[in-house]
Amino acid sequence: MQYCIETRDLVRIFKGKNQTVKALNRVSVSIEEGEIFGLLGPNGAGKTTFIKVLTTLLLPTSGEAYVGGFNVVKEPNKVRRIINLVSGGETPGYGILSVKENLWFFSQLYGLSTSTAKEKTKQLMSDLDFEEYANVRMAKLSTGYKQRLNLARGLMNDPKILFLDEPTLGLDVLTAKRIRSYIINWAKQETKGTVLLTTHYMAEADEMCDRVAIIDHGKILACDSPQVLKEKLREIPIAKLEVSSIHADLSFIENLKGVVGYSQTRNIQTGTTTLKVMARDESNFSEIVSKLNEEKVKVLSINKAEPTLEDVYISLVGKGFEEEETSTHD
Amino acid sequence: MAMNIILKSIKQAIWVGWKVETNWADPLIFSIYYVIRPLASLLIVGFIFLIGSGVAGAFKPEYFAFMFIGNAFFVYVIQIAMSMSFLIHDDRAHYEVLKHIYLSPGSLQWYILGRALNGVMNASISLILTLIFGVFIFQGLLGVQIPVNWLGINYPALILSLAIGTICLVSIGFILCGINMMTSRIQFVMADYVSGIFYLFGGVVFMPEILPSWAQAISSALPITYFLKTVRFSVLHSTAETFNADLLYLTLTTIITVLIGIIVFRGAEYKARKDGLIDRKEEY
Amino acid sequence: MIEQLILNLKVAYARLWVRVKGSNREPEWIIAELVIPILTLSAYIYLYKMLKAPAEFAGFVVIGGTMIAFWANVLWNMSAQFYWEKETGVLELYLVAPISRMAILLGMALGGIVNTTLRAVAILMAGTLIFQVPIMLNEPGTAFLMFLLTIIALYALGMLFASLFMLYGREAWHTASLLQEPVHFLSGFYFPARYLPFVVQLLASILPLTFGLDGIRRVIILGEGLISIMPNIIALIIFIIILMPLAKFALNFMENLGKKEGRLTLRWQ
Repeated sequence: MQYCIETRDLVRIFKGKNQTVKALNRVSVSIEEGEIFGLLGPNGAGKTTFIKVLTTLLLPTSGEAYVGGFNVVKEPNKVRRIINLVSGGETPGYGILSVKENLWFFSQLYGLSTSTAKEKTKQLMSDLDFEEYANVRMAKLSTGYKQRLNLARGLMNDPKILFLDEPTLGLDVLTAKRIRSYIINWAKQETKGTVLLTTHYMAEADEMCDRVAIIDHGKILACDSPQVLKEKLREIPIAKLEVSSIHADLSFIENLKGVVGYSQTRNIQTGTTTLKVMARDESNFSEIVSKLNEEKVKVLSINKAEPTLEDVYISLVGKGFEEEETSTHD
Repeated sequence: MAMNIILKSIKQAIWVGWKVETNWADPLIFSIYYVIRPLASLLIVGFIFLIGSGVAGAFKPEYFAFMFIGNAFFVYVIQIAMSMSFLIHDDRAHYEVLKHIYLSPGSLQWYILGRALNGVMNASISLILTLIFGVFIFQGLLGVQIPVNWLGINYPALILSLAIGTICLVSIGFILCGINMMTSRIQFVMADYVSGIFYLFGGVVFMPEILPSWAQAISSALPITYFLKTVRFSVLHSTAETFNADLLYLTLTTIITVLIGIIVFRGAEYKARKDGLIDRKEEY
Repeated sequence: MIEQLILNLKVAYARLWVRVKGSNREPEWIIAELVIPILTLSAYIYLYKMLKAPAEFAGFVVIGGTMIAFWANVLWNMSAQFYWEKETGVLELYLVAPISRMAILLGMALGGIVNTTLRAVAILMAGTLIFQVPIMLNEPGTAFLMFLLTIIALYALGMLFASLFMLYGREAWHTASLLQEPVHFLSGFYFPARYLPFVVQLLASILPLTFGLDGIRRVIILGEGLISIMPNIIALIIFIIILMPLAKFALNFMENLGKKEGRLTLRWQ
């Protein structure tokens, strides 16, 4: 079977002055046509490196990658004809040109006639609900509208495969939701295109993706639909505790026998910490509560929780994204 | 504000300026960069002088020295104007640190002063190297007589001229920073305007007396004219009467420039804060 | 093949359109590009006047000052363009598209030529009128040919530089900065290069501008004709033949190197 995107033992190594980083470590992934495929991981996991290899911006150190059946190293121009890339947080064009002018310009990079480009511009701006900004210079747009422009630019050439690198980065909740809905509709209803999406927002991956690959330190740790990944955790009890301190030292949890992993989120405004613990034995939860009481940390509430993609990540790595990013930067 | 915070701000700004301007190359390449451009500029005017005199049939060494010293010391104008003209754009739009500096206790004006002092330092290094190489090329290789007694320079007069002159140039730099805070549209050309106008009217490579009378009036109002006159006195030994008068005019024009600099910069800072320009990012 | 050619021509046109539109939306740039060169060339003309040099030297300075507009355009608006576009994130959008990099550079070059020629003509007229420069143009066709060949050679050099800028970021930016005044000196922007020491003339002959500037000045100021500047024409044609394919090779090489080292879309280098 020919997959739309396929990689085999893909490796990418970066050699710096003082260190060598293996950003991709034998990544093998197969994505079918019409799928929305998510790559989920913390910052520095290798998501953007993976997209750059597939979009011909970066050569792999070893391994193979095929997009639309074309080898990304040997047939880059054939790959480029059928793809487009939308990166979150990036400038989508020239600040001095208007939205319409920018879209026309980028349509020319794909050989669209001016009349076709005009039609597509009108349609995309209407679909993404920013028609009134057609004649506004890009430099004057807010982040949300720049990202709409970025997405419109990425769809001008009707790509068979759309690569989205953190497409909702830095956007407000409503704009992000709108963009996600649009992408799902585009892939599933309209063109039935294939989407490869990288994100570190769990909810986004959960909402949008047919399948999700969890990546950490360049390695794929798990790959399946969000439902199946979460289902695998049903056997492992998960508890959500709220404690009355943001300074409590919770590292003892790691050393408890039976604990699979945990994550903590500190809320400075309320002065509380939300703790999520996965343990093979429910008795671990009472142990944690006792220990916290000994340390004079009040447990405000304790509930059973349904598994989320973050819990899947924690079960694989042992800690949450926040802890992972902190330890990576240390 | 506590003096130690001010001094620390200035010191850190000098350090940042040095790091930002030199981190793209190793020290050797950086030195080349700081010699080649001013030296090339000196070679252009030097050869214009030699070719023009040669074709006209009359070489005057004292004119050559006039041009040589003027062009060499003009590096202070270029270096300070250039670094301060780009400062606001770089720190606001490119590195996006201006808002953080503005919010710090050290305050923006001391930071800008530190960056300007880094410009003065770089200009001084550039000047010394340019003079050395310039003398080597013109006097050593081409046999041109430069009537300068390098061992007999009047250092107190030179230091005094440089001190007052750089205060003036730094004040002009503050005016450029102020303008650039309010608009991002002309930042890339401001330094060129300043150095272009000073180069033409400031008596840098030719005596202002050959300009039309309206242009001579402009020349008499510019602090750079007196800066270069006092520097030339220190190096070439003109009469003391001329030096005293020129120093007085330099001081007066510097005081006026400092006052304008303070007014423009303070006004610009207020307007920038009022209009939300301190962290504005221009994409183009 | 034809399809790809048409696509690349569309790309070149689109990039030209962006350059022309963008440059003319900020009138302060237009004013700066007229006024600043006139300030510098005026200083040099007055220096020649102080030395009582013949009037044609003022003409040499005006022609040189006019051609500086093109050199600056090549250095900053062509060579450095990929660097600016890398910094703003637009470069990767070009690299992901199925187009020739030369097409983008061609568009930039043509857009630059359109704008710069207008500015250069204005500087030439202003300089000539203000300083009463003597013009002795006997063969306008020869002058145009000389100008055209110089521009093509210059922009081919710009394409070559663009490949360096694409990868080496700030070092390339500072190198371009470094190239301004030394090229003004070596190519004889303000005096005929033949007055330089022989060794320096040899060095200057690696720059197409040296031949172009000399030819244009001799035709416009000294009234010489096609036959006497034939060596300059031949030299420029040789430059074009060498630089164009070299630019294409360098672009491909640099792009591949950038992809191998992972620096192609890396910013703040």
